[in-house]
Amino acid sequence: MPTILFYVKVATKNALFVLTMLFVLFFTYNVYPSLQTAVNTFVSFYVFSMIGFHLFLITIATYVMQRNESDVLRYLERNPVKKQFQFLTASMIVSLAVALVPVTLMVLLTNELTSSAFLWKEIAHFVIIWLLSSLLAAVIGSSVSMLVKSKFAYVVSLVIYGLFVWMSFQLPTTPLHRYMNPFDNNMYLRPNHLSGVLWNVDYVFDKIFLLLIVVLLLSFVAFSVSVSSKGKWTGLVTFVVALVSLWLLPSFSPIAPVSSKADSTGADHVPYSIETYEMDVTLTNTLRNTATLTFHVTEPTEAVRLRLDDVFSIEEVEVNGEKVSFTHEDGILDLAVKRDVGEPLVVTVQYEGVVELIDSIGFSTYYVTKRAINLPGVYFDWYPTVESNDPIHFEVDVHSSAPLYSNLDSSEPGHWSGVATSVNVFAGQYESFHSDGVTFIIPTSVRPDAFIARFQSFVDETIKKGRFTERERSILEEKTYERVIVAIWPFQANEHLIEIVGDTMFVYYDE
Amino acid sequence: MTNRLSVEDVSFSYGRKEVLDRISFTAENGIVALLGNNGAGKTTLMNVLTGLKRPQAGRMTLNGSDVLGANTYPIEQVGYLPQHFDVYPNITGYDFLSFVYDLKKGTRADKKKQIDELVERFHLQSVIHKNVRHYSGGFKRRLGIAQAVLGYPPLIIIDEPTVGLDPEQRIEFRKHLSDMSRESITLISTHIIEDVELFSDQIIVLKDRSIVFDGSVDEIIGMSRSNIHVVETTRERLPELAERVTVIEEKRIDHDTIRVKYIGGEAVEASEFDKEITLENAYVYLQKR
Repeated sequence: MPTILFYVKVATKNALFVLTMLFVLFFTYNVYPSLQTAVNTFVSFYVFSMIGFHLFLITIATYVMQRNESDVLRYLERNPVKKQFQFLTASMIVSLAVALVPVTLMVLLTNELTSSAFLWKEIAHFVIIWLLSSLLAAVIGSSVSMLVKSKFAYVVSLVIYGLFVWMSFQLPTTPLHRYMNPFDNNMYLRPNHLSGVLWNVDYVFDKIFLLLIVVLLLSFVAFSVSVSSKGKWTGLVTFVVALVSLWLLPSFSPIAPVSSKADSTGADHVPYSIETYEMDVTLTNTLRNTATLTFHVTEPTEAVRLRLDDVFSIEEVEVNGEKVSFTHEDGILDLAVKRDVGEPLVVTVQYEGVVELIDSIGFSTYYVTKRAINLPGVYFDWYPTVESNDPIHFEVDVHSSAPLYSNLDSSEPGHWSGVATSVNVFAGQYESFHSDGVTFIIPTSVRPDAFIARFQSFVDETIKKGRFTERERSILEEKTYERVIVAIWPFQANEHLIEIVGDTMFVYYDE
Repeated sequence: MTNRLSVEDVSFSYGRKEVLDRISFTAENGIVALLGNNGAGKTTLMNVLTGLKRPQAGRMTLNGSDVLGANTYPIEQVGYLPQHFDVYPNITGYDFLSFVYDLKKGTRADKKKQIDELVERFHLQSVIHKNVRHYSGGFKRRLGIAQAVLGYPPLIIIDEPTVGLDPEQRIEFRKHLSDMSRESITLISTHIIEDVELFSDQIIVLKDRSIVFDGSVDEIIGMSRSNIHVVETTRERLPELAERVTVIEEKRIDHDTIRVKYIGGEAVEASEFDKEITLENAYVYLQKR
């Protein structure tokens, strides 16, 4: 420990550290107002402060490791691998101390609507990003300088680090893209900036990826500079394991891309329609549902095809109380069931799945967590359904610890019912207010006045573009909608940013 | 406690170029001067003995323990002051000594006492809490000696300690040399004889990759005495004399008279002067014979 504290002094008792701190403070001062939106908004703006601090770490790491050109230091600090580990520990201590600046502001100035539990989670998230990215920078600087024993090491370090910076500014279209960004992990749920999920499997993968890069660099250095055969073998084996793991990890990413809504079930016209729909839905970190569909058969049929997203695993299907075999692929649940006109047809589907879907540019779209839910049934087949615009009578029992919002009416706690073309469910830190006889349900991170102002203007613009049906245009112009709910869907699904389902309008709004 | 250093058959080569050829010597407490011209292999030998270079052959034991063959070189047993003493410039001398003490795994209880003792011993009080970048050459050298002595190791290795120092600083260094603990073996490599002449207990002369002498000051002087002659001549006749003999010292007596010490060659007029043979004379004799 004393030698580690010595390296802390070496790292901080110089003009470069003073300049770095001035830059961090300057940048913090410029972006702290974003804390009024959400901590994660602040963190996304804080990236340049992180980069500035990392440039300091790379420079000081290169300098310290290259001091072994001095004979007395080469004699005293004769194990370069041990010295590197001690210096990296010192770097983490310095990093943690510098992080106190933004963390203090987070505690003091964050949006007062943030719950304290979530605030500390976000602070933990920021500290993890800060420390892990700082570790990466220090490892790059110290490792390169042990291999490139000249001033050229500074250039090589900056080029390698620059690769990560460049990747962080690209759209995260693949898991590799996401994992290569050390400044964020796109785990925040739009528009629930104040209740987004933080720790899930993909989050862990994201951090493991960066740690594997660190291990890769350290093991390569250990292999290169070790004089003992044991050290060389350890370095080599670790390097190979890290390399293979890095190559494989992105392919195991549990985050699924949003599949485009399944093509029609294969017929211009289906020989059955849904009369009633009962659901018993449990929403935790998974979605579990027992859906019972009562059909009216209008023509003889030898199959029933329903749309249900591939993210779900179907446990069993019953037709008229008897189990049947089925196939479920490409978003279509296929049942080989023969029915004549008028024969009873009741299909019960029991299924479950983890809903964490991202759009084509890597941002969260559909999700179900204990605290935040975005399930726009109008775009996402989260329950078995048919291609039809006919309204259906829904009776839905829903179990969730989060307060829920829907286009259906809640006749009693935990139960919704109503006639609609789709069931849409949302939860998060939402607030509800009334304006001109309309109930608005928007995330608490959104300012109501700003939302109302923007809402009215783009409704007006949307009407002018004239891409709605007559019925929808009538609803918009006559303002006969009763409810407005903020939701998120893939941008390409509906560029209007407005969707009308019965008496509910859904608005795509993300600050 | 009497410490014992034993170096056995140490050989070192840079590729095909042999630099050290079966170097062997032993030493006990006291000051051991390793003399040799530039390029004789002194610094290479220092690097090998401090574990900074791995010899192709040979062994070094200190109080019976194999130093070069140990898994980790025991820096707490061997203090080292290299020719170029260059440390972190933005650190105070005290912080650096503290760092060295910790690297040498000293006990926490004795740390402050030892460091304060050395600060006082080497007169570093006025600068010890200043950054090393502000130290003069003399203070840097003193700090270097202090870190080598820290922990009172049984062996201290000093490589060319007075290179770059002015005459006053060199005199000061010699004083520190005499102050060094008599309870350790201090191995000093130098080509400046007068730095070690007064205080050396043992002289080792390195020439052409090998040791050509290993003994006391009296022994080296005694060995060379009969081979060194003294004569006085004039400035005009000096060049002619130099063609006939190997001159090893010239000393000006007055405006036109020069007393010359020489070896070899055809004897000139018999010497009528006391042959005050110095260590330097003996060393030069060994180098030139």
